[in-house]
Amino acid sequence: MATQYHFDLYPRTDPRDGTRLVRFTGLQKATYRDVIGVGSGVAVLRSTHADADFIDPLGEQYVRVVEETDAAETVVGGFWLSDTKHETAVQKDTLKLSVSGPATMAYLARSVMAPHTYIHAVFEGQDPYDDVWRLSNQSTFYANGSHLGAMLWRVIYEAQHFRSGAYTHRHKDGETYTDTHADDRLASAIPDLVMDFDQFVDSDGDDWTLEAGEFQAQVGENVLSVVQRLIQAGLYIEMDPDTFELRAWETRPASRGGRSTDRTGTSWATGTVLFKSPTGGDISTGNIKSDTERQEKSFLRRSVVWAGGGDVYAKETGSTDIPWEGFESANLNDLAALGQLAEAQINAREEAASAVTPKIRLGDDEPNGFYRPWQEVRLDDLVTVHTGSGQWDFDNQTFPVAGLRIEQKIGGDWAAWAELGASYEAGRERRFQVGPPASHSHPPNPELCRLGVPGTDSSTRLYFSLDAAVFNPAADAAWDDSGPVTRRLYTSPDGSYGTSPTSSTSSGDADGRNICYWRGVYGPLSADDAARIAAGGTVISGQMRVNARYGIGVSEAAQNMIYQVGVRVTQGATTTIRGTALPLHSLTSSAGSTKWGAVSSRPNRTLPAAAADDVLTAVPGTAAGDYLLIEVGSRNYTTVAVTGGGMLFTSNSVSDLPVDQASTAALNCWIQFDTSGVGAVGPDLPLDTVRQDEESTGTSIRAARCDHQHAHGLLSVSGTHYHDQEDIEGTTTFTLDQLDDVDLSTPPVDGDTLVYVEEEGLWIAQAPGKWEAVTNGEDIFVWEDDDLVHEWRT
Amino acid sequence: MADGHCIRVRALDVQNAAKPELATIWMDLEVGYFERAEAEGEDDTIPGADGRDVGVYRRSRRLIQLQGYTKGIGGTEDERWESWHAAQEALLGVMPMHSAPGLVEVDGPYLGIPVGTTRFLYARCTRQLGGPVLNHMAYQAWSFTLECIDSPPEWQTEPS
Repeated sequence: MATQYHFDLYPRTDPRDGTRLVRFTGLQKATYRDVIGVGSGVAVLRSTHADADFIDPLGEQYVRVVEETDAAETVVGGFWLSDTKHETAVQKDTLKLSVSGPATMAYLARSVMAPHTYIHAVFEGQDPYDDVWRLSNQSTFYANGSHLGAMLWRVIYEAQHFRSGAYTHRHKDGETYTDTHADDRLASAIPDLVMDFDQFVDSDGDDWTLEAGEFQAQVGENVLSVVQRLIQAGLYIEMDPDTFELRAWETRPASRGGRSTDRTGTSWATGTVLFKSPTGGDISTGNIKSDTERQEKSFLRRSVVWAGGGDVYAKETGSTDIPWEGFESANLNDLAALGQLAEAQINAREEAASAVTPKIRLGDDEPNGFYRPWQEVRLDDLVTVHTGSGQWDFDNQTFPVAGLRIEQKIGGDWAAWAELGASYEAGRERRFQVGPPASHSHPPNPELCRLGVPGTDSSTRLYFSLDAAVFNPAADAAWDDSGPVTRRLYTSPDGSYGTSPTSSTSSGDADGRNICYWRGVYGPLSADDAARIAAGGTVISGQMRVNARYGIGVSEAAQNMIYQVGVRVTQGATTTIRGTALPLHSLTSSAGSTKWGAVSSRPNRTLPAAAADDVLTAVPGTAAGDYLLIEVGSRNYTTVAVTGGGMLFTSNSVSDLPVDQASTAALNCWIQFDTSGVGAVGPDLPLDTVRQDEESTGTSIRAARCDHQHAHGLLSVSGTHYHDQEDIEGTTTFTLDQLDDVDLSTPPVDGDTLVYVEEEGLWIAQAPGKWEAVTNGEDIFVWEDDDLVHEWRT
Repeated sequence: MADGHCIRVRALDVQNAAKPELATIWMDLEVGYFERAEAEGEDDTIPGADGRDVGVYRRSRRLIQLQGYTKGIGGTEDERWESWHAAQEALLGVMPMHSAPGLVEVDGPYLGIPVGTTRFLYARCTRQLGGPVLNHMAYQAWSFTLECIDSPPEWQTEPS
């Protein structure tokens, strides 16, 4: 049976689940076109036909486009009846009723970016301010930060949620409230949509990897508009016309490829899509039908494209040998994102420069060149066109499928076309530009005025968490006792570990046995962090409370063990190891290092063992999104039978263990990575969505952790004009009166000079050689000589 | 059922006598009974190959051509004028160009249709052509084209 299509009408009030109203049988014209983005459909019938009685003049009914082949039906498309024309009272009183509208994904246009956030519970969202949703600044922990897919998830999540009683979130002033607003959204405009992905993985369950640098949306901006910008930025998004599932993948990595499926080939076969001219002179040897036209628009190609704005630009080069410059305006500050944008723009132009629209030989018989749109020929797939080897032929040329179109013929069968390249409107729609947010007024807000800071030392302190990692890479083969499942490290203590030790009774030997106590990952790495790991030279340090085995029946004096630690890099959130930054040491004795004490107090020990290397070697290729895999334990040289040890991973204290070999206070254990002379930080924006401490996960050097709360809580306690850049950044000298309302138990003397620096997401005011005050934006802690002498809490 | 007459258009007997010379209206169905209905569809060419990919064609319409005349009968010229005028009014009254299709019936044995059997369809006049009025306004030749767009556009047999 030939392939046929049907147009089925569904009710406007329940388009997804409602009962079919009618299958049109009296259509005089029927056309449906699908593109990457939003397609369209048209149906024409006489208004006196019985089918017309089912069409609601109010519009927005939904038409499912159903393919029928061998009695099997498949929904391949859909469109909304948004535009109706009736030819009556005109010169030719034809009574033709034309109904048309955009394809399924236009459903998203029913919702806009609201003035308030509706994401709460653990994810304490923040309202947009200055009319802008700073999507790329959302939580890296809960919302996966600036990954394109994560931002898509956030946009849809917000659109599908609304106020249901008072909820806790942050207002634009950065303060947390539990309240409601008169202008709250009270119902979702897109309730039928179902997301087939989340903030961490795409519709195939693969981790999101593409990041946007900066990406914003305007309050009131149509959700469909935001989604289209994300498509242009690198996502492939489709909405199932039957189930209304929204699916998304990353299909455009930096190197152009990454299409959904490569179906190219030089002969007809199952799984291959080849449009070719006849080779044997009869119609069975060709499948390019009439009306195929090649379009070459050489002026679209560019030899070089700059992308950027605001004095930040990236440049990429194209393949044409004609020098021709291009530019894409983008309000981004991330050079990698700008480079990706420029490259995508070059590729899109090259695709649009060569286009062809063959008429498909419609049918279900791939080995003989018969294809069905949406089945064998699918959007964004790569296919082959071959007409010969002449200058104007397509010589096994590869094209992406930019659009698919079907049209009912006069006899009742259907014609189908594949729009290859970036043809027709698709050529213009596929401008891979991340559009800048609309301009807005600029009320006083310190963070918006923050400028970039020069490079400085980088230091990232990590804390142990009981949270399980989402992936579980294998333990280093050098461990003799490989240890437990993989957990996580955060830049803020999450309170999950108390003072119960993790113990082992594994034996040692004279040359040392490696006993793993704890394994965990930290990430995803920011671009800056990744660059440091890739370059090598970062120094690892740490403080933990540990013990060798003690007690009755144990030869405490014979216990002989020191730290063992290894650091490796995983490729993204996968179990694939990219490289080793710090291999397990192979010291044959504990000489030169402080052994673990065989005492119940579990005294502090500095990590790594003094005689072991503490400098990370370079791991080339480390990229943003990778993770550090850190494994800690002991190397046990004990030769007596009864041995073992224990480690604390405390993370529920307000303070950290000091750097010494003796402390026994129940303070946070930590591991730290320090790099000298790098870490230039670009302009940053305030927090958008999450609690301050958690935001620091994964982007520890970013100043974004200083938000409104911080600015008000510390910098302007005495009215400091924190709007000035020099008041909030770098090593600017401060005077004491700027902390004069802070009750320090050991106050500095007026006239002392304070050095104000950012470190580890904390702001540190120092009177060099005297004292040091640390704040997380709400609380202030004061040390003298590594001793906590005062806590000032909000 | 057949009533002894051969062709009726919208119930008007357009062969209103047993013999042509006795009729004031006499139309013959010259085209459109045996001919096949027109069909519409589209084949596809494969550039560079002989032949075409066959498309689906569907019966679209049937054109019927009636040809004949109206004639005045009477002992005087006035009677012939009056008779001819009545025939003209009657014939053209069932050949409107604007109305919905009307019933066209053909009785056997006309055109070889079995005696006692009537074939019918619905058609609308789409073209009419009159000849010159002759014999002192007592004769005019006529040609009518009727279009059937029934679904399908075929002659049917009236149930007996």
